[in-house]
Amino acid sequence: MPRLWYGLRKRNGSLMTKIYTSVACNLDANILLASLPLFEQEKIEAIEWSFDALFKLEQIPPWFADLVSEFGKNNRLIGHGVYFSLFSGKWLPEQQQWLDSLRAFSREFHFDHISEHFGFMTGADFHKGAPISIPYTSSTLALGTDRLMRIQDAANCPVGLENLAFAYTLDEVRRQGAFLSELTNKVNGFIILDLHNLYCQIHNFNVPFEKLLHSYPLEKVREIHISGGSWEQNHAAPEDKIRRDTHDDEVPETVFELLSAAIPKCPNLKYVVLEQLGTALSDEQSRSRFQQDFLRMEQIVKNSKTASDGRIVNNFLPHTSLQSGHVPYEDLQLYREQNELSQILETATDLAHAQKLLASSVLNGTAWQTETWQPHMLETAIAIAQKWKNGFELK
Amino acid sequence: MKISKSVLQAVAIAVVVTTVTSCAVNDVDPEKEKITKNKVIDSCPACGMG
Repeated sequence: MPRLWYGLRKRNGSLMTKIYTSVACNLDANILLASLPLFEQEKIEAIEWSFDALFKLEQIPPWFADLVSEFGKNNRLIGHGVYFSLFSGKWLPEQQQWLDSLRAFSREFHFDHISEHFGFMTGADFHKGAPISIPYTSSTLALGTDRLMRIQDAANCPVGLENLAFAYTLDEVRRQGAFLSELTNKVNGFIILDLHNLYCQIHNFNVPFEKLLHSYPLEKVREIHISGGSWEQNHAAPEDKIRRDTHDDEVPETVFELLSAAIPKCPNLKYVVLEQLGTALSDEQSRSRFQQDFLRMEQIVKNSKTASDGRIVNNFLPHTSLQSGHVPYEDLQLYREQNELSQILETATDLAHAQKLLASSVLNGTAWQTETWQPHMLETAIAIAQKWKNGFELK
Repeated sequence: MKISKSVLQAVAIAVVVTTVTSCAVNDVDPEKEKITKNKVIDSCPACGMG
């Protein structure tokens, strides 16, 4: 099957797309060791870099900056933020610092686009916690739109959001795609479709893939992620294991099948990214599996028909710009609720304890609809929040 | 994508001779500094927050 090329014009005048096979490449010895043979074979066509994960380094090592620059100069560098906490109800000084850093990074390295995660961070400070979902309301829509405009203003390139694996209810799973679409409208933003996140939801909520896939605005998908994860025993649903998006294992066969099915339906797809944590790449065997996963991903991309034929390709550049002096939108009631929820998730001793605390919390009777939360997913939220509440710790 | 040999060689040398990581603990003190130089640090949850 012929590969299509991004930005080139076909004989009939429509734009054609090229899909870049990419890796999530951070300043991590194991990830770099696993990727080196692929770099040497010129297999890696783009890299995704989490620029905000360098928060304790005063200076990026020159050799790593050179690697990032090589991709940037060729328009093959994409940035993926972790810590901005897009839906935090209060505008935080750390968010302004994050934007200032992004502005500086964007001057130094040329990003083809910047993305962040959907949700708010549960942690007590800016580099602790994990992203957890939020209610879909007019206020959270205003909040997310405001923050995306600020990211776009700082980075001066297309911006987008990644779908979240975690959800409390089936209704939330069904509505996430439409909400992401609304959020990205004003900034002409894109969506990262993380297929392992969908895989988690397919399993945890027993949803058919096709139905779930079509609940997303597929014309906005510019990037796809694939990865592995883990199964966790859950006391609330002992007969079923919970699928978690832990990125610490090889890509499951089903996720490759989802990739084959999704590519033809995403007309603006430009990047397919393989993600894995460095801790899961600590020996030769795991690095070899990572390389095999990459080559399998590459083959699927090569063999896929894209959906861009005859359609206008969206460049995802902004339609509007942030007005100078525009005051950040805030929802302080939401912020109080988020703080209380974080506290409950991080300190609850078990599911029953969390349910009791939620029933008497400020979240009760609000748009969070905590009374509808699936017990097995609340237990998962507790596990996620407690796993990351101290950030990164020495092993 | 083709990457220049010198860049790849520099990456190869760096990852082999040093322990590199994106992340470190927040409140670094001299004792912890010693630890970070000698122990493997958990990877960033740049992905895999689940």
